[in-house]
Amino acid sequence: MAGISPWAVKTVHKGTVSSRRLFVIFAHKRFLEFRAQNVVRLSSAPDGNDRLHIAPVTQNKPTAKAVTISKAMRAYMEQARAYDDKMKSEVADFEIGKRHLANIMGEDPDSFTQEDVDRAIEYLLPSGLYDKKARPVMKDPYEIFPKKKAAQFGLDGRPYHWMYFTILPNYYSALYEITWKLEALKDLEDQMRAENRQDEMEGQSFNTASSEWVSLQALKTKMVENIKEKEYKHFVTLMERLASHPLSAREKDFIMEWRVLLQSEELQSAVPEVEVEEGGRMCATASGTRKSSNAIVKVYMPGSGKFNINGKDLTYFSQNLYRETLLLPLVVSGLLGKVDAEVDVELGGPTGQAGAIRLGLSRALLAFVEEDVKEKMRLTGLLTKDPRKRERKKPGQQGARRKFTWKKR
Amino acid sequence: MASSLSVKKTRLILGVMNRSLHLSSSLKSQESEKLENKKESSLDSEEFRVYEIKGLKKVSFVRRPERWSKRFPPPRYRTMPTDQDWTDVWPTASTFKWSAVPFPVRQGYVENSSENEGVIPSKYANLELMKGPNFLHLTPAHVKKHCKAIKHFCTQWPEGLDTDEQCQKHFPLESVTSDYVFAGPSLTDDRARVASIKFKLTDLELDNHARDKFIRLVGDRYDPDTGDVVFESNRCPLKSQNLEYVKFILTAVYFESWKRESWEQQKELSDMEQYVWDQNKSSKTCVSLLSDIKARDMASGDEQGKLSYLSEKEVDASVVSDLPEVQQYKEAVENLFNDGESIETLNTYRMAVEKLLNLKLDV
Amino acid sequence: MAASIGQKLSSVASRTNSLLKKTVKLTEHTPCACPYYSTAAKRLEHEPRIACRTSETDPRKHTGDHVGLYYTVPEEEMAVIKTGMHPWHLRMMKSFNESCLMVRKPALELKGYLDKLNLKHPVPRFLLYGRRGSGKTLTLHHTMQCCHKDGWIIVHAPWAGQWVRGWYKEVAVSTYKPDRYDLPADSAEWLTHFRAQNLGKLSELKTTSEYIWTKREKAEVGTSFEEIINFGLSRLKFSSDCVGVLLKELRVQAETQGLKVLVVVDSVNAFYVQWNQQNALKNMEKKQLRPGEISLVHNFKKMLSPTWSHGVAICAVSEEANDEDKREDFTPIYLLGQEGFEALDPFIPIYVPDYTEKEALSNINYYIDRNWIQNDYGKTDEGKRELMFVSNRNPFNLAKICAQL
Repeated sequence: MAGISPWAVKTVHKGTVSSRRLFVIFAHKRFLEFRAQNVVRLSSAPDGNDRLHIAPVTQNKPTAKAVTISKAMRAYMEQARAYDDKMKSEVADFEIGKRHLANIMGEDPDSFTQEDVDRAIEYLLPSGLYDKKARPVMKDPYEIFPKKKAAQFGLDGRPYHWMYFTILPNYYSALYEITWKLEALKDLEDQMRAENRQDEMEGQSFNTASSEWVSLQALKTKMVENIKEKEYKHFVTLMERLASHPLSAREKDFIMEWRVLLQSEELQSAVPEVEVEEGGRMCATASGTRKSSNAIVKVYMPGSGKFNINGKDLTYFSQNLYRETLLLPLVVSGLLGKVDAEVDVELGGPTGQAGAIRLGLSRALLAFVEEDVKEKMRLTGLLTKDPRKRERKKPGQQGARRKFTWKKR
Repeated sequence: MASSLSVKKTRLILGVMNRSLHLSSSLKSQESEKLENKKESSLDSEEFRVYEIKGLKKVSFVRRPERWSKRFPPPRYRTMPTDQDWTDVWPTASTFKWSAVPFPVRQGYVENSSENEGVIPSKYANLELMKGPNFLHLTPAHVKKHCKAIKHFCTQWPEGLDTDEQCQKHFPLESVTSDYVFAGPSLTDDRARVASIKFKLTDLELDNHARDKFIRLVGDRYDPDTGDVVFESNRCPLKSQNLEYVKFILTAVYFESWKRESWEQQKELSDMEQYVWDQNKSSKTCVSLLSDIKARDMASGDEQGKLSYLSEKEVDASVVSDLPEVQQYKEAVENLFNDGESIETLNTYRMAVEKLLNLKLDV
Repeated sequence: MAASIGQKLSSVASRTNSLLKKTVKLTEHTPCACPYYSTAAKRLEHEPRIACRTSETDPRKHTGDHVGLYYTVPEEEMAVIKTGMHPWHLRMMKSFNESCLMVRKPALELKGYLDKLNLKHPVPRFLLYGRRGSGKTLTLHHTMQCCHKDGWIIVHAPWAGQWVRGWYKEVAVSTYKPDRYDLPADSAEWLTHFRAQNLGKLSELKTTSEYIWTKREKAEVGTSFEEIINFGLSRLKFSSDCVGVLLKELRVQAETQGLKVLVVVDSVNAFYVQWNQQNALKNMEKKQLRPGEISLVHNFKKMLSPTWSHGVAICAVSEEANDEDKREDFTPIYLLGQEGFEALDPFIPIYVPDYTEKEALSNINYYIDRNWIQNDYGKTDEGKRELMFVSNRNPFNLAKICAQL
């Protein structure tokens, strides 16, 4: 179904058979025309809500013909009206509620922002529930109610999208676009090879290291279509093919639309602030945990490699293994012997404490290293928390997994 | 009647659309009825049936009384003005009431779109909101009102007690008692009779001996880190009695610690809580060593390497201990024992010994 | 940072530049008497020479400039200090095919004190303390070699802990005093050690009073020390008494004849603290003995008391000589206990620190020079810095880590 276009359908109806390739080319041309005429927005509607809007910019031209509204369209319009009415009343409720809330908290209702609302709700209805999603909220109804897909066809019953009959028009048009981009790249590659410009191609490949493909769930919400596992796999395969092309860096923006950055945003927030101490020494503080141990690490720059762990130097750890644990972040960041560290560590045993210090140290060192070193540290796994914990003992067993010795009698 | 109306309606639409099975069957039944009527009229020929033209005769409808149903008024919050006084709406602590809360708060965990169509449950009949505690009765406006109400019970803050230090100075004794209020049937609480007093040990007038004895007497009621002593009692049935009792304890312990019993004379060096150089062997060793050195210096008569500070004075325990070198040595030793060993204290000890024995480091 | 250390080292090296040239000669002509099959210490010609040595083999001439550099202990002097050395050090020296010691600050400090000492005063006591493996024992050896060159008589207890631990050793009631106990084997061992350390000096020393061993055997006035030692070794029963006689004679003669006596006791805290029930020395009735009841310890304690002159007592405290539950700290009073402190007070505590950055680098360079570090990464600057970090610049720790490289 992937390549079916209205043109192709029509041709088949007539019973004439042309080459599939021709169809595709034709269909692509039509698609481009369609793109030019209609603005297809896959995200960010003008009102700021992430609702999908596929609608022609130029509305139906006035014609002399009597306008007939299809039944499906009428049903849709009724639904849409009901939805709009509901949303309108919800929005009105929200706006009034916000003013009420401002009044209750004794604040100015006109300058009452969403942050104030959140704070007020947390004060009035405190909740200790672990998952923050389970706590009381008061948000814009557009964030609460899931988006509804806008009408896919005009009053005359003709679909806007030329891939409407594939059931998943957004999905298939995306596949279609990927294919064409890949073809273009292939052509370009052939051309460059013919012109003997292979050396220009070096380093033109897209770097996949710091990001990954969007998840199935994210793809579903992005396309507002019910995409199945199999189709998602198909999509990823095709994208992989595009990304692994030697010239794929040219389509970097397009590819990145369908990828999410790995942790890098977390990384941004995790970088501790650099404070300047008396005497012009910079310092950064971070904390780390491992098993049941917690560590707070304060790193001073510049320094001479001194460590102060709970008032002791590195002799706090009697075994070399634990010192080696602390060594790794310093070696990877290239700051061994260039920083001092002051550490408060509590609970747990030496393994946990060394691990906790390692994590805290790595996080604190982020403040003093370049971007590429940060990435290197992340790839080394220094910034990843080791989630393993002691497993609980189970009743009826000797330990977490071990069973009692079986005795016949 | 109603069914025929609906039939008409469907017919209209059927002109355009397909016929549904149900409708077609009902039509058939009507036609067969007509046929039967014809048969009857042909058989029963004595009386003519009057043809009734529809619409000529007036038919009166008796409207069936509507079944009684409970009509709910709109929720209270719909009529609330946004500048109302919230303390009137929610005067005291109470469970969350959706109709009285004017803002559209929601609560509930929604995993995905399959649960409640992906919408967080609203406040209407929301148990989650009712289960949790709320502070709708303690908004800033409430707090202001409460403060205003209890204000005339308050007296003015005394002058000269502006800082914590001043308070501590003028009122060194701090007593703590607690009252407990219940919503339950009983008004009493066991914990209400507990009384405690707290003060700094430095606020008591004590000499070295008395201080030591006081600390030993009070045991773990004294916290050496903060210097606080806390007496607590719950042994009497009344709070006031307990308070009196802890004050009595303070008095008793204070005077007891000033007393010197005969057995206290038997205190040995190992019982001392502080290292006192004069009473220890170190001082005797020092004096004997210095006298030995002096004797040797006198015997040799050699000026070089002599202990210069000893040259003229008679070596005697009292004289020796007044020498600045010995004083420094004494301090160093006491530091070593009382402050604990560290490289710093050991280095000061080393310097003191160097001076004491006239050992010079030549680097 | 490493560059600056390198600069410091090279500046030191340039100061001792002339010495370095000699070093080249020295290492090239190091006599290698025994056939030797190890490839560990063979120097390769193309390897860069690293500044980690000084050719100043006389420890008396070491100054602050030599700190962190290795000097070679000559063969004949090695024979003197060898007997008291820990087997571990000897093994390392054998592997390196040379006997080198590092010049370190505590040894220089000790030398500084000894140079300015008024010998007429009662014996001053010096006490080395420091972490495990920080080099207290080797500092003692350095000082001993220094004093040996100066012609001191050396009284050395290599590890005092040996005398108070009861490892199936023979304990006899003292022939001198019935409430004391002798350790014949240990005494004999010490006599041999003493003779080896003071080779050539003992035959001139004569006793100044008469000592009666039994009804028939006695040592006349003017018996040489050599003979007393021989007697002790042939009649083990009296070996402890011989030790007592020697020590007493040394004290007396130091006072009267100006003999210079250096008393060195390693892990001196063994003299003052009790051992636990399992490992302590017991008498025939299985009664645990206090250290003071052992005649050897009793006699050595006398050497440490300031009742005589013309001598110096240098001691070291070590955690190993204490019970396992009393090893938390390395400071003297904690290890010695109240009794030990009172016995030694006033003493000069000398801290033997872990390596400084310069010393650690020099040590690593020495290991590279001796092919003890063969891993290529270990020879780079980063590798060296990692070694310093992991070992925390503790000498023994560093040696242990480098042993695997």
